[in-house]
Amino acid sequence: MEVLLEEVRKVFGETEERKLVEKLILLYKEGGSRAVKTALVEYLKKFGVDVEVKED
Amino acid sequence: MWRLKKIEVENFRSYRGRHILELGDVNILWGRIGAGKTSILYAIEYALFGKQLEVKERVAKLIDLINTDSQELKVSLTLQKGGDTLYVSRVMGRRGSERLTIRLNNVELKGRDAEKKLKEILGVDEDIYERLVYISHRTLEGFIYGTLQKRALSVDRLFGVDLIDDVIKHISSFEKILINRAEELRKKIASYEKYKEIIRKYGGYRGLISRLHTLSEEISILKEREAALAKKVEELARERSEYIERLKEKESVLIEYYKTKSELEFLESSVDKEPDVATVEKIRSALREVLEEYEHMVGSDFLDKLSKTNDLESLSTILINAYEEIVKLSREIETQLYDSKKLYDHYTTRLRRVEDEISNLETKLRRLEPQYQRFKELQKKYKSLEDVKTTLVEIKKKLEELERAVSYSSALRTVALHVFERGISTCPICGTMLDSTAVSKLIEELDSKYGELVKELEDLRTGVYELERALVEMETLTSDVSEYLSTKSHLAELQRERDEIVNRILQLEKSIKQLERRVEKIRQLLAKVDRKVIYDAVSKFGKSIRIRELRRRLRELEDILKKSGVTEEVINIDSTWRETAEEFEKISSRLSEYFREKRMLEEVEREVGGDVENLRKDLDNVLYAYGKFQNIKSRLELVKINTRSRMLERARDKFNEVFLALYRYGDIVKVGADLEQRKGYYDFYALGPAGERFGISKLSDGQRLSMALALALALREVSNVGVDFIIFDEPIPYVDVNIRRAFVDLVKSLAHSRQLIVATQSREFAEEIREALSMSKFFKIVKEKTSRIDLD
Repeated sequence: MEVLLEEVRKVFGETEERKLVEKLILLYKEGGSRAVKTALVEYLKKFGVDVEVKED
Repeated sequence: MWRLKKIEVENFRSYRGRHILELGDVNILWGRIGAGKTSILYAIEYALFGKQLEVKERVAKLIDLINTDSQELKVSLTLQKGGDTLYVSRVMGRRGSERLTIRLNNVELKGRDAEKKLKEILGVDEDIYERLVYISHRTLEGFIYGTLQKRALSVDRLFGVDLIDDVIKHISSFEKILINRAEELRKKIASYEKYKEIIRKYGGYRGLISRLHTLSEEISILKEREAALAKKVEELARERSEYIERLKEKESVLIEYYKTKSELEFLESSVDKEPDVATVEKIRSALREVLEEYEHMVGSDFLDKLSKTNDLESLSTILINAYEEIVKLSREIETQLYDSKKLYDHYTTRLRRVEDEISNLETKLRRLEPQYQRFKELQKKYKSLEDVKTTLVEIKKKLEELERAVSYSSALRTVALHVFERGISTCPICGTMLDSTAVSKLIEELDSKYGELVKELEDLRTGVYELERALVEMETLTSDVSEYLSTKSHLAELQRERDEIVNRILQLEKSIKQLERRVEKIRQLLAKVDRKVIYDAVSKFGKSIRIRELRRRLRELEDILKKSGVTEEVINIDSTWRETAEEFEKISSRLSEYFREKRMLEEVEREVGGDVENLRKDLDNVLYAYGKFQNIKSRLELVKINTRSRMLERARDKFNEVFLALYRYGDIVKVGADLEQRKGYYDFYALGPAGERFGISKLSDGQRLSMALALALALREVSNVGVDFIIFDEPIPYVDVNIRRAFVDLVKSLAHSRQLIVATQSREFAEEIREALSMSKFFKIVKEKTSRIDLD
């Protein structure tokens, strides 16, 4: 996991995308699919895109 | 490292009541599908990690873990490491409340502190547990049988790189959503172009939606009205049926009656009050009064026609013609008035200028008057200037003669005196003999004459002087006199002109007053009367006449109907029925139109669904977000490959070491793995004793299984996993005899160093392990009303 996060930091650098990816990885690990979907829905809202994700 | 000693489950899934498993070094859980093997494995995981089971979606809801007949579950584990004992207990109620208790060598912790301490003690989180402790056939199958890609997925799972795939998978699913959304938006924008004119007609999309709402409300109101009318029509039709014979008999009269009534009602509603014929006469009289003054211009025939015309069409024409004549006259008179006023202004300006000039000339005359009077005096005394000049020449001539005579007389006297005094007897000049007495007498005569001559001379001189002075003065005054006379003449001319101007001005004033009166009169008329007033009045006049005719006809028709038994009451029923039926038709027709419009608007709403500017903005946002996701995904692929590479690097030595410990047949002396360059997949290989290299596809299933397990165990080593047990949940496809045997051999090797828990539904596989490892404990899982564990 540490290796993975280190590589994320290296590849994405200090960007908003890095924060998102780190968040998604940790959320997936802790909260599963639902948490990741919620985070992506929130991320899209920043661009004015409102999506509804159907529950599996 | 920690080994599991005891598992206690109470009301957990299919286990009702309390059940206990005392574990050994090798433990086989055997039972048919659904007997409760996996429940025991879940119980271990739940006790250690709680909610994660739900997070990983192994169970839909955590409370599903509670046995259906119970309100609370409890799972307890007893673990041992050397002399240390760790007791872990997790309890959950139906409301989802969860309590964790741990006890390490009699030190008890609860809640969050317990969760934290447990993770610290075991040195493993749920993620590592799932990858490296809990090994299912999914982990091994992909490695043994899969393609490069599938194998990569299996190894990624061991390395924890699959997290990236999971994230990518989620991003991809959102990308799909975005693509669909973009497509949807494009369709809507294209639809907007299709329905543009309709949308514009409603003042934009919002207007259209607003109309759609209004339309729904209106439709609902109209529907109610239609239902009420239908009911009323039915009732009236029933009532009307009683008189139907009489009504049919007089149908033509009735139709005329209704038509007449309808026309009358329409006409009566279009006029304000009672029929009006007076207005037309008032207009006619007013127009005539004005035009009479201009009879010489419009002609007496026209005035006659205006007075006498009475038929509607001609009346309208003659009134309009009269009106237009007056408008024309008004324009002409106003032009005349304008010209007169302009001329009046011109003359008043001219008068002022002439009067100023007269005043100046009078001043000038006053100034020249004394000179002129003086000249007149001189003229009176000396006559004209020419006369003065002539007289002066004559007097001057006389004066010269007189002066010569005085000189001669003086000279003679001087000579006579000399002769006399000297007694000279001869003339000194001519020598003639002289008498002294004569000389003396001469002297006396000369003396006497000389005095007279001198006096005369003096008088002449005075006369010349006076004339010369008068001449000079007259010559000086001549120019002033001339100016005086011309000024006087000019003044007289201007005074005549002034008189003429004043007369003209007086005439113009009179004319202007007259024109203004006429203009005012016409203006007052035109303020009240125009084309519309005339048309309205004529129209009302016509309507009034028609109303009178219709009323008369209606009375006649009513009489005819009454005589035939069609009374007022019957007519009322029939007409109400007709009116109601007509209204019903209208409402139905309007409803149909509204429904058509509503369907069209709903189509636009469905197809377009928003304001075009917002749709375009939304599309831009969606495409921008899609681009972001694409970028993130491609970078995540790079992260994945980099992580694979680093994880391989980390596990490489241990992998070989563990493999050689497990696999003792001597035909492979080394195993390793690299990343292939093209797609970043794993390239596993083995080396034979002679250094020959075997790619994974050249290895047997058993050899691949050994490699897969070796890799998992190597990772456990490098990850410092603190638990010593490995759980195999249906680890292999048991139908394959060779692989089953290979797995049994591996279990045998592993049993020396690890605690093993193997769950399987294959009795043969379970028995093979038991035979291979005599110290193994064989638990038979049976399900009847509840699951049960029997130590076999």
